[in-house]
Amino acid sequence: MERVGGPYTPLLWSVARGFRLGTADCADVVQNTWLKLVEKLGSVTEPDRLAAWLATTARRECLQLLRRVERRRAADEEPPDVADDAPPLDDGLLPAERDIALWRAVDRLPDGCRRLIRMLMADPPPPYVEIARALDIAVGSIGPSRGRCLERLRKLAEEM
Amino acid sequence: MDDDELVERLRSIANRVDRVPAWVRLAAQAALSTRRMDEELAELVHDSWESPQLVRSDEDAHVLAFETGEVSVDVQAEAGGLRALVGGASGEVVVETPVGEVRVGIGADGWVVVPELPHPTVRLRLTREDGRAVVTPWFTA
Repeated sequence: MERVGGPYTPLLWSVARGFRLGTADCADVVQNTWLKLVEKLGSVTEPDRLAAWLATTARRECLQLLRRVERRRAADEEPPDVADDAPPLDDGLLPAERDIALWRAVDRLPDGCRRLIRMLMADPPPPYVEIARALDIAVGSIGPSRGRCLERLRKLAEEM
Repeated sequence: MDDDELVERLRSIANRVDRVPAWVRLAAQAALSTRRMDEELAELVHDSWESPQLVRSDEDAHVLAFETGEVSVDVQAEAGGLRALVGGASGEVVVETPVGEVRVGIGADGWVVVPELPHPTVRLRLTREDGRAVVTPWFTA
């Protein structure tokens, strides 16, 4: 079972990052998703459905977390650990100016595009069926959306 | 750079600046090792976050109810702690979280009070009257 965590953790991470969650919240989403899987082991038996189940569960965890944050905010509590932007960029890691512009542009994409592009960036790249389940969109719409979102990304990167 | 090349480039950027932290991978492994076959999983039968809010009082409390057989647990979580009314179990409740557990005795009236949770992700482990372990699913307090 331990080995299952390896390839899918980057997928879950990419889902959570798509929701603009900070590192601590992304970690919670990943872990809660695995905890839920452990409870459901009996019912998620087909390996080819596992990733889609995980991706869907991760999306629900993100939505639940955002809802919790919203409630807290409504109750005027201290600001939550959410929506901290993409990880701080150590320019030394990204020598090419173009790479820096691209990375920053991803974060400026509209929600739908950012979530899609973030998932496409996961390593290993998730199959479209997993992306569709995670984002609750039709598999057939991914190709066209991908093209449109990448075009926006190019424009945003050029403006920077 | 065509679309495929651009996606590859983005992936390589993410690999350099936003790799999944090692501790998150370790936590995932730990989560996967929490499976125990000798315990019974209580079912979530009510979750106030999943219900439309008709009444605005009490809106801060997250109210959940779990059941299995004779065991019932009604949870109210708020302000970083929780209160639970336990039926069909006795002794103590183990409040498990990803960062450690807290053990609390069940009062004569069936109430369990945890003023401060170590982590908002929680599950409760109880012992049924016949000695069998019962756990709730993981939930967010």
